[in-house]
Amino acid sequence: MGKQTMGFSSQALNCRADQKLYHLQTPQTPIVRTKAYEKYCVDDYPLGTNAIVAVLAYSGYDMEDAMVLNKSSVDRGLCHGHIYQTETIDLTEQSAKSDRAQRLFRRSNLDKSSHQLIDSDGLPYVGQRINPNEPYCTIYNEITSQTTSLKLKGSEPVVVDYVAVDVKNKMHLQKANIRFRKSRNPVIGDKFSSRHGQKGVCSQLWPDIDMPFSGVTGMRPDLIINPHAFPSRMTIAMLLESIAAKGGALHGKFVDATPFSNTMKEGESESSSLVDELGSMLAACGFNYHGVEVLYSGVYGTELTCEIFIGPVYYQRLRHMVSDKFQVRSTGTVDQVTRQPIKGRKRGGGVRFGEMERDSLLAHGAAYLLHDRLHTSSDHHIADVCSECGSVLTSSLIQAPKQAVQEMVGLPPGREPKKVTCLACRSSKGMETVAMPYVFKYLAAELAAMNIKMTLKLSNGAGA
Amino acid sequence: MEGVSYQRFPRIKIREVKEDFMKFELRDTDASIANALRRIMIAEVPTIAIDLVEIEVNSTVLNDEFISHRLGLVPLTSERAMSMRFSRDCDACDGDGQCEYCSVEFYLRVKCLTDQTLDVTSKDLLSSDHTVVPVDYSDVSSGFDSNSTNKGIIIVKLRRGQELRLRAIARKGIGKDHAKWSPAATVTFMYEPEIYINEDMMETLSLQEKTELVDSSPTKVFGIDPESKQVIVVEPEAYTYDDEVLKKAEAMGKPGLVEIHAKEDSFIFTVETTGAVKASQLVLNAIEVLKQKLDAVRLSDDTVEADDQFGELGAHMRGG
Repeated sequence: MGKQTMGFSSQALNCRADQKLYHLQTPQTPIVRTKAYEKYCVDDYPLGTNAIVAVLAYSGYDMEDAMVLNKSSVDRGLCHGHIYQTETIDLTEQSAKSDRAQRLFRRSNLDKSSHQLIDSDGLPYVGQRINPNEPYCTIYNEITSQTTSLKLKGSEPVVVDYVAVDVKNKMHLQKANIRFRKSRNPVIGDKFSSRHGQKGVCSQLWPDIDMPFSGVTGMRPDLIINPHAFPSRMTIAMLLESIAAKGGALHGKFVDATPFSNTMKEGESESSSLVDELGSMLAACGFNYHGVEVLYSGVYGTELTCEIFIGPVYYQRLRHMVSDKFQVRSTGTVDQVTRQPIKGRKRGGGVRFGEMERDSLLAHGAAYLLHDRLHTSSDHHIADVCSECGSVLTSSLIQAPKQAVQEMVGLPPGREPKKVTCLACRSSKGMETVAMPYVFKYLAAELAAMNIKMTLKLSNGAGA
Repeated sequence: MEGVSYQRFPRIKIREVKEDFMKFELRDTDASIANALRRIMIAEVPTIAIDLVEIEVNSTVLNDEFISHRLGLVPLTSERAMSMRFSRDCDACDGDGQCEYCSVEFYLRVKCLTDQTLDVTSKDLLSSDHTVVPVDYSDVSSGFDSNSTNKGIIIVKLRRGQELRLRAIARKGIGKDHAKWSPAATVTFMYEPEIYINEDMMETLSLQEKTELVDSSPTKVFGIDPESKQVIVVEPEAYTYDDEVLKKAEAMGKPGLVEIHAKEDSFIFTVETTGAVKASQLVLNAIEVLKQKLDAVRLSDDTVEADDQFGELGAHMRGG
């Protein structure tokens, strides 16, 4: 609990300037709780929601620890949250580092385009929405008399939540904290967990009407998890929590779940166990003793063949969200040296197709796909190789004399064959073009740098 | 199969109607119709809800998105919704959704000037249209304690000096797009059970066994007649299809003691609304929407594509 959850971590959110702070919009207090929970006043910092959880394989979208969320529940605010991020801008630091020029927060009067976002003091308006690559703050350099603007990084729009200024320096404003707010409502790919380590990823926001419903109460679950999550992990406590919370909810009271303590009242017979107590709580309200209910398919309106285990479980939203983690790329920046796609999510890099992935394609015999991944989509290069000396490095382009005549007539310049020559052999006789990864050429250069010569033997066709 | 008509004439019998609650029986039809009705009531009957919020001043403890979200979920009286236009199809305002045909404007201006905490509630929302106002729960004599001053749905609480000023546009929509437009709090139906007690076999039980059998059901379906000491069906509809009684009978070594079947063609509906429309109106609107959807299918009945699409069924669909 706590570390990874998106909870209600602070009561004084408006006064805080954390680098990054995850905040749950509408937290609830758990129905099933321990004595320690009350002792340490965790209710002041709640970190989850009592979600109605149905355990069944429905729609197939709950396979392999995925879970299906009810779209209407999410619409109504289930697990909505925010991220607060604070940007600290200290002008004294910047000034000391470089030219000792006095810097100030000031809006440029020349550039009117930023006036919508930035107030006359050079700082953003509170409550203003800022899109990526839009300025949120402008700084005036007194020596160069230039204004520079700080642009918003990232790929999502933010809202300016608060701007705090440091007025210790009486002369000029030198330091400001700008707090941004991003709303993070549940989307496909976000991670959730119960308090029993049953974590899962939302795989679908399923419409409310397609969810199974109870014929008696009309309840639809907020969340569906797969029954396969239980046998191997043996998280019986989650099932007990579900029954206990259901009983507690029906009776309108919290259920104590302190471990190693007898929850039974004194003087009761020894045979009565926790399960008996919880079960009878349900039975007293006309529910099944074991916490199962008859549900109807939301799509067809017919009774589901099994009785479904359903009840409230305290679910937490974890702070691993797709919007912080997704990585996609079609074409983009390449490494200068190798001409291969760069790595890194922030820089728009690609996902590495590594050795093991290569092995997998080899095992499948998917040669064309392999060629596509490792060559065509990577650092495909047509190199000029001298067949005489076998060197990839010695080719040089000969600048063809400009044909001024053609240009004057205005004819389209005819595509002349590239004239290359080998600097070592001083002839362009044996020049051939060979397709190869660009790193290969780089390898040759590196080897040459340590006095190792690499020669290619060119031949025509296979085995010739 | 030509000429065979599958047409049925479903009947509705109303059992109980309150402002926001209704219970009725639907007979002589099948689960597909019953479920279609349920689904439409939840997701496709239009209502009006706040869709756009322009915040002028917000110095409250809640952020703008939070307040907008809360405003959106406030149920508004939506009797007009069926005749209103969707702002995306509105010709009068070219789809910007700000004209009188497709939108309703709300204003909220509250500032706390005292040391007492001030509650901003749905009552503070001032509507430009007196037919579309936040639902008033004060006169509904339901579970809420109506003697306490009911002030509506609380939106945010203000301390001294805090202020909230905004303009909101409410538009027509359906629950499929966002749950805030769903008029239904709960819509559910159950199959009507047919309970048959094997009296001969029941005679063989002792009174204690009979009590055990009766008590085995978590809901009060069966009872014991105080005079004849026979097991009787007290409330068949309390049965939840949990099979507890059947299991008990089997455990007693008397399978077939009680037989329970679900009637395939009669359903008992329970409808609860958010107050946006009356429960009775919700059902009528749902039937209207269902008819419109069927008309949309029928519209394409004489086109060639329809015949291609439905094959042999094309003729059937034309027949109605």
